[in-house]
Amino acid sequence: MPTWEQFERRVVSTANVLLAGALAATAALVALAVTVSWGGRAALFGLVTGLVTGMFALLRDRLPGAYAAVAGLAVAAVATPIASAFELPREPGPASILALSVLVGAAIRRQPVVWGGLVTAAYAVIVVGSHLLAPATSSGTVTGFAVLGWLGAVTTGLSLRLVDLRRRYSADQVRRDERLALARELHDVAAHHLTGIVVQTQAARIVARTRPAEVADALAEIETAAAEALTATRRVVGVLRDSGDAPPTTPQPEGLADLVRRFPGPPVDLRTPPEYASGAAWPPELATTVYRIVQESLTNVARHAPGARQVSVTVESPVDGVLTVRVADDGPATSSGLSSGVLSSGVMSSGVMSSGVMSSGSSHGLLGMRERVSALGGTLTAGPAPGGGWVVSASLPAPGARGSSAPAGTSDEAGTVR
Amino acid sequence: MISVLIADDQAMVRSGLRLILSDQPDIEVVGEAADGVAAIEQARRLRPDVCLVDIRMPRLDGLAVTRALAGPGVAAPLRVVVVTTFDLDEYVYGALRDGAAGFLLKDAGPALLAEAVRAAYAGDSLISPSITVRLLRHLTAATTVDTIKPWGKLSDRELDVVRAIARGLTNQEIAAELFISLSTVKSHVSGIQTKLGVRNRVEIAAWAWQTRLVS
Repeated sequence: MPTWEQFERRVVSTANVLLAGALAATAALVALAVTVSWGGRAALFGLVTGLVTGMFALLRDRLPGAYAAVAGLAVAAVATPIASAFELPREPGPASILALSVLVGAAIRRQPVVWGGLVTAAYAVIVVGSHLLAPATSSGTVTGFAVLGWLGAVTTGLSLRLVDLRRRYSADQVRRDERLALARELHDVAAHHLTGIVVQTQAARIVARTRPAEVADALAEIETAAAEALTATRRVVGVLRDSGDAPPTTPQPEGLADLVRRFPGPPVDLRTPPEYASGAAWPPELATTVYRIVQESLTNVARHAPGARQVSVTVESPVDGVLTVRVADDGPATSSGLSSGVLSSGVMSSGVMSSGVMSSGSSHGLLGMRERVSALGGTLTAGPAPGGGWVVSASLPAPGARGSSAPAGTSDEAGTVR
Repeated sequence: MISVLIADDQAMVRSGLRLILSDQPDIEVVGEAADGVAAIEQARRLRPDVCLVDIRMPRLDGLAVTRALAGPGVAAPLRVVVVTTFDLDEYVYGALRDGAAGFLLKDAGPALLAEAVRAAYAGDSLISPSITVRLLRHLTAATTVDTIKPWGKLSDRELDVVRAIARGLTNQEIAAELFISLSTVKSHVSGIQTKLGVRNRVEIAAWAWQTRLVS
């Protein structure tokens, strides 16, 4: 079941493809029109500014902060006096307007208020300034289009910002409610059992005084009750820890082999150290984390690397108390082809699109993995491998885990599955 | 001998309370019930002097049990002490309205437990006064009373007695504090109960807190 984030990412990638098409089409049509009325030089200038700002518009999510918006606006701002000097159309062309509106709208939505305000103001200055620099004979049509673009950017950016805000708020609310409900349940469960234990203990003291022979029975009852209380508390806390799409609460060593066997994607080469298969060598939270990393990585492979032919999952014995997990695929998707793909054709190829989804898609799952790993004091890295494919690698401190004296090499315990 | 019925869904709480109470020379546990329905049935059959009733029970909760045994309109009400796990229970007002003679924490301890049973039986003091007064104080802020009865019905002397009761004083302590005899205190208390239309001491205390006669 796709989450809202996944759905939104899909919408955004589709929108980016449409945007690229619209930019290219607008740039081409305008270039044609300008060639007829102004000559080829003007058309080329307009085409270049349009495509450069357009490129920043398509890269807006990849550049940090408001850089893309600032860069696009800078290009438009520099282009105006140059155009003025060479007696070319001063106003940003329709392709530039489209690109700048997307950039400014995105900045208003995502960036801090100060940055949003600054780029909005800069955009207005460019629109008004270029209109003032234009000769009096120039028709107001292009400026009118620019004003519309500015208004569109502001309204869309603000409404999307509001939507984001509301969604974050309601997510926070849900989390808070959930936490409160769990706290209440934990308290109720603990209090219920502890009350019984207290009453029973008070009674046991009376028994000790009046019928000493029966004290052992009373103590046994108290012990049972305390054990029950512990179990009940663990159950509630278990719910707290493993909410949502939780794996089995205590993944067993054979869990990884099972997980790999169930994996619907390409064949998986699973290598685990011998003591992992024998079980009980690691503390449960370590085993759970290893399981989660492998699970999340395989999920990402299945979703975002359709071209992968082979996946390797390697869990290595703790060396100097540090255990490593590495999941690598040989999927062909890389993000390096993006800019050339956009610039050369103006239309994204499907390969570029899938890599776009991949980096943002795995970053979401990565967040969860990274949280889990850092909670245990470990580190996690993920990224494209030098020879192609994607690698997720984690180092986890393994306190008290046996096998640190064993060689770092791995045994081919589970072997290649499928 | 004060006969007591224990109603609680936890077997270990029942057996613990039974052991604690049976250790007292003047208290006898005559029955145990694991749910509300059984509690009512046993209470009607055994007619114990005091019923200790847990609030959270299967089939019928402690409030319904209290209502059935001591509520408004019950012909021969029994003395019901509500036994709770939590010292801030949202059911307190309901229990009061349903005729409970007082509240007690389950883990109050053998001494307080026995005292509470004796107090419920004698009716001359609040049951676990410190807890009850704290609960009542909480109740003032949390609830609005449907009809606040005017203080005017009561004489100044009776209002003094009401204030003392609300603070958790026993009849004997009230007598000492107001320099009157114990029998005068008792007649004041029964006069107050008649005038306010309440059934027991804890209701007098609740009335005092709700009307902000004490604060």
